[in-house]
Amino acid sequence: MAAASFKEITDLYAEERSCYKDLAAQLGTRIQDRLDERGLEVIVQWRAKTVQSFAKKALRKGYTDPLMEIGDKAGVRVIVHFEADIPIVRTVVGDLCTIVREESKRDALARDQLGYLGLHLDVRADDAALEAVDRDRLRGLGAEVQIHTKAQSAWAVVSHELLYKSPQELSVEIQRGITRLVALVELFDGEIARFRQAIEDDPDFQEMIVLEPLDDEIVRFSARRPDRALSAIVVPPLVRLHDRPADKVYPEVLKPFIDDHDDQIQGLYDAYRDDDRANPLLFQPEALLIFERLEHNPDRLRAAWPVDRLPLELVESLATIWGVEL
Amino acid sequence: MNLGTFFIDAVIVHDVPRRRAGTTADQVVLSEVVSDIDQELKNFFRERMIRSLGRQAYEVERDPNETSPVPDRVAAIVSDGNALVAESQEIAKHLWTCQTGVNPAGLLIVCTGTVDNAAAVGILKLEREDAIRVEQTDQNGAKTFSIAHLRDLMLGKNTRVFKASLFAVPGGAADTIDGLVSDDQRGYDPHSEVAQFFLCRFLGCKLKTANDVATKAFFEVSQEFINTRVDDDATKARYEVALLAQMNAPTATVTPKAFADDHLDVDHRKPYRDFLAERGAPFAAFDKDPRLVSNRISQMTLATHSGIRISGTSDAIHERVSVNPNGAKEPVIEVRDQLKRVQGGRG
Repeated sequence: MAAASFKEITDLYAEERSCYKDLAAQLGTRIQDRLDERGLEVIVQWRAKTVQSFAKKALRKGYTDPLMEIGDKAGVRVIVHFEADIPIVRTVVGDLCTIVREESKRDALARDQLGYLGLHLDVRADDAALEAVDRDRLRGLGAEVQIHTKAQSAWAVVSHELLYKSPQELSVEIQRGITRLVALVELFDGEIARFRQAIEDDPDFQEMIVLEPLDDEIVRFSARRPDRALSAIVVPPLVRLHDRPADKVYPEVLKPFIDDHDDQIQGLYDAYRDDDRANPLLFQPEALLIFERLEHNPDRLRAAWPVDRLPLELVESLATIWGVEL
Repeated sequence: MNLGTFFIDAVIVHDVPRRRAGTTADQVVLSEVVSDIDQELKNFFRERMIRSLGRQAYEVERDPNETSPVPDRVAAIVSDGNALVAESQEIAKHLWTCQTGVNPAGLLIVCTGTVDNAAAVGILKLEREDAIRVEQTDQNGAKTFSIAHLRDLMLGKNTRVFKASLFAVPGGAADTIDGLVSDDQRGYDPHSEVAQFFLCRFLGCKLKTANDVATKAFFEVSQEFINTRVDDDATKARYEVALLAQMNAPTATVTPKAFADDHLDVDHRKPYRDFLAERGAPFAAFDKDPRLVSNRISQMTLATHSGIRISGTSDAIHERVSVNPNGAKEPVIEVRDQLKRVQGGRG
């Protein structure tokens, strides 16, 4: 690459960089929004390559047309909790962009090889990913989307730092150390996936789904952190009292109930927040499940109470607090 | 009244001794300030009152024929929370005045608070053994009672009867007083002399619904529920027998919730409660007065689709007649009895 043309190219990228910056921000935001709608918890980061970084990569790789050949001028990284979430993110990215090239780093490795993992997508943003006012300016520009687990992301960041500061040829000892670390990343994600599957296979797993929104509600009312192990005793049999799928119980039953009784519930927690002798279940998310059943079907609540695990007087006391007799 | 919305703000306690000949209202040991009470004790009293009122309470209203000053005092406290000390002292003196020697000594507890987001007044009488004295304490030079001590008394065995009432005054004036009254004494009969004393002479109130009307409504609506909302024939017969047994039982009080808990299947209880409410029949306890339905509760009749009728006392039906016995697949009504006579016509 001639020096003059290199300067011209880096100057040109410097002029265009704001477009890539906007592209990365809009694409990252849209991906985040879509994943939020699906209830998938992720971390989304984005950036436009700095001019310095662009120039160094062009020199390091010996590109003849770096503006075309460098695909990650706009970059978005999506970090998921579980490997099983990666295909969901890939689908969302596919809805927003045209995927030009897809590379699963694991698939690219031989069976006996360990190395960088994750999914990389070279994309061109479609209109769905862009603000209406920017579509003409940004449509068709390329970007790179990386999808990693947290372990893969940690490895990617650290290894990037290490390799840049290392001589061309790493010693065998260092190479073996790196291999061990990469194996650890793969092992970590594999074990997490295994544990998750085991948890999901628990017969009470579906019922416990209701706890996630209820935890937020109870923290809002009581400002106390609930005890999950206690909830595990009470929640499954109470969720089964509702003749509907467990994931519908909160949106279709509990949320409307809480909205309708917001003042009464808040009044209760205001009165009991500093009461050290209060019923311990009051500060658990299942209290809201119990209040709803007390209001709508106390008899089945009583019949379903797990008396072999928790004394009946606990739910009777909650009934008193709610103002009814069980 | 939604008792779940009931919260206590302030409490005052007066000690009302047994009235003995030759004594005056000076015997009443009055508090001069409200009691020092923390949130935990407020909640303790709140729950104690809800348990009492939620279990077996009667809906009451002012009785214009009674001369008790309590409704006016309650209205005064509701309109001015600062009036609690003075007005509650007058209520305590009135309690002593209308007692006779048979009424045991007790602690009168008057509290202010809210129910259904409106000001409310609770009046409780905690009857105690004469020998148990509650010491007054000094609070910045003013006499009062320790609520913590009172809680210990309530948890202990030295107190016998807990009478509770909770009033709201939706219209502001004493005539609009709206309340619930209960008594922890089992088999409480609001027409008994003791109850008349507390409800009528002391509180100046009467039941909102006449007992004969409440009894008739309970019986008719329950029967309608059984005939229109219960599908299974055997269950229908079982419920009807239970209803008639309830109506003929020697108990003075009917508690529809207890009836549902004791006799209805779990899945029928909530629809039954809703049905009673929908038709305006009582779900709260009421004093049984069957005079308006007496001719219909002594006999029970089973009528079939083909026009056959089986009649008898509910006891005889219960003992001799089975509907779909042993889970029969085909509809079966079995009568285990000896034929006495046969005749033409309707018999």
